[in-house]
Amino acid sequence: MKTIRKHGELLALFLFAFLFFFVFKYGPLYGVLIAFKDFRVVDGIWGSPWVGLQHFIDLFQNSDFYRLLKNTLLLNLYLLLFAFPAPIVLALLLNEVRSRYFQRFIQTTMYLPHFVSWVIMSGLVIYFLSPTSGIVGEIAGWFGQEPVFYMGKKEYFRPIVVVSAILKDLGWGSIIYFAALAGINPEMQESAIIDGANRWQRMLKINIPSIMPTIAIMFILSLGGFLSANFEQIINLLNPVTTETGDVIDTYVYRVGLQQFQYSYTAAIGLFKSLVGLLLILGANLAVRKLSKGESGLW
Amino acid sequence: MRMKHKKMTGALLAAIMAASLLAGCSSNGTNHNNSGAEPGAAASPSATAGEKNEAPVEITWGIHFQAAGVVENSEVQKWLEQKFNVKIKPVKVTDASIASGEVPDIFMLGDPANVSAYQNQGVLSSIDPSMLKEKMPEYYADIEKNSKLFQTVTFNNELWAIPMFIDEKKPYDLGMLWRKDWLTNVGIAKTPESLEEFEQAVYAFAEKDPDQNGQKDTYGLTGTATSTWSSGFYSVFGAFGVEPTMWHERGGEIVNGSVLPETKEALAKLRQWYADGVIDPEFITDTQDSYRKKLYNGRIGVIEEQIAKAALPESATITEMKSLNPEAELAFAKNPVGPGGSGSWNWGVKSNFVVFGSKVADQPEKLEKLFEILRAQSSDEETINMTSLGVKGTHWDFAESGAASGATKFLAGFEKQEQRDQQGIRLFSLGNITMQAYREKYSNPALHEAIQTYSDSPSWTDALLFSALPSDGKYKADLTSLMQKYFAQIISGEIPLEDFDKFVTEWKARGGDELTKEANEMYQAQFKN
Repeated sequence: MKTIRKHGELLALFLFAFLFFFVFKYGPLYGVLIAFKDFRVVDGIWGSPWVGLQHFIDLFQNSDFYRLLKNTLLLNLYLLLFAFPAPIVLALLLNEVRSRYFQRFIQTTMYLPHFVSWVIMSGLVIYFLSPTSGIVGEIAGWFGQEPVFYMGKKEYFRPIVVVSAILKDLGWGSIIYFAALAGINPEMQESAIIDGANRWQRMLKINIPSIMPTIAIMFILSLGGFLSANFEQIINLLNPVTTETGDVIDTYVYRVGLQQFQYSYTAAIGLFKSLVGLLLILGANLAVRKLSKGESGLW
Repeated sequence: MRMKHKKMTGALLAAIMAASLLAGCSSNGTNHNNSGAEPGAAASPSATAGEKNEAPVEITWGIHFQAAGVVENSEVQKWLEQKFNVKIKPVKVTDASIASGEVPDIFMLGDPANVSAYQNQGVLSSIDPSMLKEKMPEYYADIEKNSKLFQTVTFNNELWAIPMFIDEKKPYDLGMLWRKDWLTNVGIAKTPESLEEFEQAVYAFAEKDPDQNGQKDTYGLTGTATSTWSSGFYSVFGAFGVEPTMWHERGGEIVNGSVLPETKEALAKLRQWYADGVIDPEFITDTQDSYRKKLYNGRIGVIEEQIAKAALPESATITEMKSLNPEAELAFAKNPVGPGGSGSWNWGVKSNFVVFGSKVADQPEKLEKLFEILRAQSSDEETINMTSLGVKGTHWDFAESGAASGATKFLAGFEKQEQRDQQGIRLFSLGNITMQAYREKYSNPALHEAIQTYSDSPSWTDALLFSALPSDGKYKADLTSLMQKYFAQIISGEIPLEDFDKFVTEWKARGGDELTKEANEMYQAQFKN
C-alpha cells in the first residue's frame, strides 16, 4: 500500500501502457484458440468444436506450402541482406555531408515515398518498368538495349520487390540511425581529428561502433517479422506470371483464407509464422548477446 | 473461471469494436458515419417490439453492397420507416463485420458461393419456400419461371436465400466495342464478325499504324490477367466454345472450361497473337481499371464491353471516349464467331440474392415485416421507385418529358451514384426483385432493341448457374490461380503450349477431379431436365 502511494504517478503512467497492451495485444490472444478449432461465426470462439492440430497438418501437407515457404524465406533474406543495411549506409553517408541544408533537404525528400501507399507505389513501379512506355525501357534504349518486360518475367520479381522496398523506405528507416549518430559525443570526433584520423577511419572506428547497439536492436526486431514480408507491397506487384516466385505465405492466406471464411486455417498459418518469428528473435538476441559479450541485445 | 471468461470476451469485444470502427472509417472516407461500430445495438431489440403493436420493428439493414458507406437517416430511410412502421439501422456488410458476429437482419449477396460460405458460418436463416409463395405471390409467379435458381442456394434441402433473376438477354451481356475510325484507316469497311475478320482487324491495328502518327505504338487488344480471369479474352475463348473456370455441359457430362481441348486451341491462337505483337504485353499487369483506359488512350483498338455501356450513343463508355478524344469513332458489334460458335462470359439468368440474418428465424413479427417490405419492393411501384430512383421530379424523371413509362434519367445534382447515395437512393434497393411488369414499364426501348441485336445469350453461361460446389471453398481459389499462372505464361511464350497438358494433369490432381465429380452429381440431381 505504501509503495502504491509512493509511486502513484509512475503506476498511473504504467496503467496506460498496461491497458493498451492488455486490450490490443494480450486480450485478442484468446482468439488464437480458433487455430485449434473449426471456427464458425455463430458458435463463437469458445463454442466452435475443437479439431486439435488438424489445420497445421493440412498446412504442412499442402503441396504449395514448401514453395510458399521458400518464396517467403528467400524474399525476406534478400530484404534483410539489401534493404536492411541500406538506411544505415544512407545515414552514415549523409552524416558526412558538410552542408546542413543539403543534408536536411535530402533527408526530407527521402522520407516522402514512405507516405505513399503501396497501391500507388506499385502502380508507379509497374509503369516505370513497362517495356513500351516505361522510363527504364527508355533509358535502356539509349544504350541500344531491347526493353525488357520486367514485370512479366518471374526471375525479376524478387529484385523488383527489394529495390522498390529500398526506394520507398530508405529515408524513413534511416531516421533512427540519424538520431543515433547525433547522439555520439562530439569530443570523440574532435580528439580523433586531433590524432589525425581521416573521415573513413572515423566512420569505421567511431560512428559505426557507436550506432552498433541500435543496429543490433533493429536487426533483432526486423527478424521478428521475418515471415511477414510486406504483404501490401507484394499483393500489389504480383501478377499471374510471377506467382511462381512471388507468391508468399501472406498472399496465400489472403487468397484462400480471408476470401473464403477459412479463419481457423489462416489463424493456424498466422500462429506458425509467429512461432518462427519468436524463435528467430530469441536466436538473434542470443547471438547478439554472445557477440557483444552481454552488452547489447533486447534483454 | 466463468467470470474470467466473461472478462476476456469483454476485452475482446472492445478490441473488435475498436478494430471495426477503424475499418469503417477507412473504408468510407466520404461519409461522416461509420458502419461497423456499436455491435450492441445490432442485438435483437424485438423484446420491446413484441409488447405493443404500434411500436416500430427495428431492422438492421445491410445496405447495397456496391454502396461505399452508410448514410444514416437519409430521406429514403425515413420514408421507409414511416410507410412500414419500422426503425431501420443501415449497416455496411463486410466479411469482417460478419466474422465479428454482427449479422444484419436483411442483406444482399452476389453469388451462390457467398450464400454457401455465409450459410456454413451459420449466420443465415433458412427460408420457407411456401412462405415466400404466400407472402410475395406476384414475385413468386415470376421467379417460378426461373425455378432452377432456387437450386443454386438450396443446401441441406433448405432454401437459404431469395434468388433474384434477370432476363437471359440483359444489359450487361458483353459484346465488342471497336475503334471505327481505326478500322477505316486500315481499310476495313465493316466491323468484324468472324474470328478470321477479327484476327485481320487486330493484326492491322498492330501493324498498319491505325492512328496514323507514323509510329508503331498501337496494339490490337489487351487482357486483364492480374485482376480477373480475364476480360479481354472472354470473346476469343467464346469463339472456341469455352469459358475457363465455367462448367460446361458436353453430351450429358459436366466438364470444366479451364481444361478442355478447345481451351488449348484458344490459347494457341492468343499465344500466336502475342508473339506477333498483337496483344499488348502489358496484359499481364493490366487490371480491370486500366482496361478501358487503354482504349481511351488510343493504345488498343477493341475492348469487350457491356451492351448497356456501349451500344447506344449516350452510353457511358461512348460518352467518356467522346469527352477524352472527340475525334474517335466507336462501333459496337457482336462477339466474333469462331469454330466453337460465339459468345462471351455470361452470367445467365442469375442476379443477386436476398438473405436474412440468423436471428430473424426466432422473430416472426420481424420476418413478417421483412416480407411486407420485400413484397412492396417487388410489386409496389411507389416503393420500388422511392428506393431505386428517389422522388420523381426531384431526383429523376422519364427521359422523354411528360412520358409515363419507358427510360428514366436522373436530374441535375443526382446524376452520380454517390450523390444519390447521400439521399439513401440505392442503399435499400434490392435491384432485380422487381416483378416483370415493372421492368417492362420502365425499360428503355432503344436499349431493349440493342440487347436483342447484340446479346449472344445464353452463350456461354455456367451449366450449374454458378452454383457453389461443396468443395469449392477448399479448391476453387487455388485452381483459378493455377490456371491464371499457366495461361498467362503460355500466352506470353514463357512456357511451351504443350505445358497445357501438364496444367490439366496438375489441375485434376489438385482438386479439379473432385470438383468435376461434384459438379456432375449436382447436375444430375438438380439441373438435368
